Amino acid sequence: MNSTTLEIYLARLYTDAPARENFLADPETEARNAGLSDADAIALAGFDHAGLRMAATSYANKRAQHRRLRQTLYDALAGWWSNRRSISKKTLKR
Amino acid sequence: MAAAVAVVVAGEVKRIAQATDRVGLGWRSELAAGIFSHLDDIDLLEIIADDHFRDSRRELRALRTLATQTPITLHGVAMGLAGSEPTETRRMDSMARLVDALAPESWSEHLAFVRAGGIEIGHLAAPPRTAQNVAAAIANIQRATKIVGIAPQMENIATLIDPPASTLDEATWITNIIAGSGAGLLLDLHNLYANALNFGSDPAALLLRFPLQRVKTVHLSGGMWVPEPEPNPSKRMRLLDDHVHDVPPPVFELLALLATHAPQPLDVILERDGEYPDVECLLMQLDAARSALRHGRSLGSQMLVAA
Repeated sequence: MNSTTLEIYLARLYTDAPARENFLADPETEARNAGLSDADAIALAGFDHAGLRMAATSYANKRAQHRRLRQTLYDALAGWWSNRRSISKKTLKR
Repeated sequence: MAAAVAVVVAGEVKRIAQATDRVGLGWRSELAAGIFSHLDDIDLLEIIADDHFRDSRRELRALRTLATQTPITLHGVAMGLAGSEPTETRRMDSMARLVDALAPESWSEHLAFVRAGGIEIGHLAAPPRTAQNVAAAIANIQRATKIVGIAPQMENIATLIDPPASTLDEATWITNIIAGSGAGLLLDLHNLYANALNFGSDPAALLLRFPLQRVKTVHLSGGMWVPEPEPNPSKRMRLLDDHVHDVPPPVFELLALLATHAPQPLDVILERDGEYPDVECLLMQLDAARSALRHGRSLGSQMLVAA
């Protein structure tokens, strides 16, 4: 069992909806197709489907929250920069 | 012999009685006004480190001023120290710089992976709990300790999915990492409570299997029940640790149980990340935590004397 390979595959299942649905339809085959060893593919076959969907939704919500936060910060910075530029122009005109 | 035992017990009872537990809050800018007006009721503050890795000198000065008012600790959320891949050094360097700048009492991170193979999950995920993962987590934590200069406290996470392909249960996995890395345990009681309920174990029994002597800090928070998605016919619910609800009574009972079995001083932090109530509501939860600690300490002393 290779922990690194498993974590990479899990990260993909948590973030890639089509890959996740393919996996849920046929876990063992999809895991083998993704390059996991037979042992890892078998270990994933009994995966908790509801838990996978719930965890993926929860992570997607968190990523959306982060994006909103980044956008808010960007908007605040853009507003500050535009305000600063207009003040500089006024100062120059004087 | 009996006299010697009595002396040892008396010493332990005294140690428990003298344990100076502290109760505080997670610092959030939305709570700043309430925190500043009630600093006498708040023993310490926990600051999210990642929010301040890029702070200017002026912003860091403000945090240092805050640290002169009340003890602070730093809490990281994105290192992914329990991943099997080596954690990027730059993330540890950021924590080291912040620790140097603010001189907090301690710093902490999560027993989680947050990325793998270049894929960002966006939040804390439970890795498959295997011996290979334990070894990798220990290596990451030891490297972080060397770079930051202080060993972290590592927090147990809540998960909606029991990590597949695990060969160790949660308590064994955590015990092995804590023992091997030299890190302290930041025990999140709501995370423990949620995992126990979601995966069919008794929260109190699970708590007693954790390495309680290594607990330094405790997190308290709340969550909500969410239904399992269709097409699952069972309509089961799972407890989501969302930090936007009050601490439920069973979590205070777990805190009392912890205080009964862990004689060392504990720092308890209430976490709230949204739908902020009045500060009075948060202070009431801090008082409830203090009551639970007192109750647990009292039971712990009685148990020692009885033994």
